[in-house]
Amino acid sequence: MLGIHSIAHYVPSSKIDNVVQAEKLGKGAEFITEKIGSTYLSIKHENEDTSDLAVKAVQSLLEKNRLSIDEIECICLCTQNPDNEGLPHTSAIVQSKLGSPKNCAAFDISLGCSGYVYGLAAITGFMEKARLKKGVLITVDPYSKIVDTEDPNTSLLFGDAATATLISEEYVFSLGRSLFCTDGARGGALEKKSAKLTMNGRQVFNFAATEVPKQIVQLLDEEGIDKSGIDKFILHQGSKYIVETLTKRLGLPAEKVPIKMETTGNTVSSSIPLILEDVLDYAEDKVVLISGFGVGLSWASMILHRL
Amino acid sequence: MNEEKIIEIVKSSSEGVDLNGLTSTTVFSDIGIDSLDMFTVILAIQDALGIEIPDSDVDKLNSVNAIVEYLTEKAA
Repeated sequence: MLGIHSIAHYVPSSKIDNVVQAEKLGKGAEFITEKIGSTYLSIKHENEDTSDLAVKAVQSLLEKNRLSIDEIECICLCTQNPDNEGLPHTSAIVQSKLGSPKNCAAFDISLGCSGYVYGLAAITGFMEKARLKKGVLITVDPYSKIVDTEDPNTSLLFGDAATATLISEEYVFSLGRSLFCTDGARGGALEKKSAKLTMNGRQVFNFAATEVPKQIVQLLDEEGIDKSGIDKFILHQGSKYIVETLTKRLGLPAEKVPIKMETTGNTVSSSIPLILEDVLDYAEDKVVLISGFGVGLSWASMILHRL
Repeated sequence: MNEEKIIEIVKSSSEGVDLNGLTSTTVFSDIGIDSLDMFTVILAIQDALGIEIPDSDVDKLNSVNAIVEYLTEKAA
């Protein structure tokens, strides 16, 4: 059986001062601190491409776990902002840059903010079928490539980051029950048009505020546990406001729902593993629920159990 | 939905905003109720009444009175 062994990340050191940016777009500092939740947005260096962010996250993971790249048999990379528009697939570029052996499987998956939950199911299912023992799930979606800096709906939200999750037979968290949903008919609420990201904030808010709690409640019902049986709810960090809204609508104590986007922004599929990386070290967090939601529209939730 | 109920929704949806000066004619943005608070207000009204308020109508719902009038018209 496979599970989550370790997580590492790469967050570019370059930052956008979001308060300064907001003022230029007619928004106050309070809106940034109280509603958006990100005083700074991380942004990749000009000479970095998507694969470079991914490579740095994987290198950090290998170092942290004293592993050689030769031991990694599978790379699954989740992005919608790949190198060279996705051809060849970014995971193959990462495999090459890491000097990984040719017998390493590598594939990309195209998902946004639900991508980590989907990615965990995809890579473990693939590895189990292919009888592989160690693999890496990479999340890396540098929205700075597509954000229109003049658009207040999007430019105050997103930051760049990459994470790498080691999937192994020696794990800390096993993957439990999960639910996956899609509503492509409402996909226009968050899409790329003429190479730039567009977002209907109200439609995305309504979607998240209504569908995500329903899915989480259904997942808990199917698992046969109460909200109190979950030690941490790690929700996608869309904005501080949406995380707080979901916390209220689910009737959860705020201390069970971490918020971590102050110096990064919404890092798309990386937002959940950036928090889960910390939670891995807290032995008292035995049962964790993760939930991602966004582009698609797509939403997915999963329960993780500490060994 | 009456004025009282709308005020109750606005109050529960706008934590951190000083609502002491809120009257039925107060323009929400004048007292610091921002676009995100309004998403919550309108979603709460939609949920309570089982109706869909289109994006094109949202901007005009800028006070308690405006919401009451809009809902009255919509119900007619």
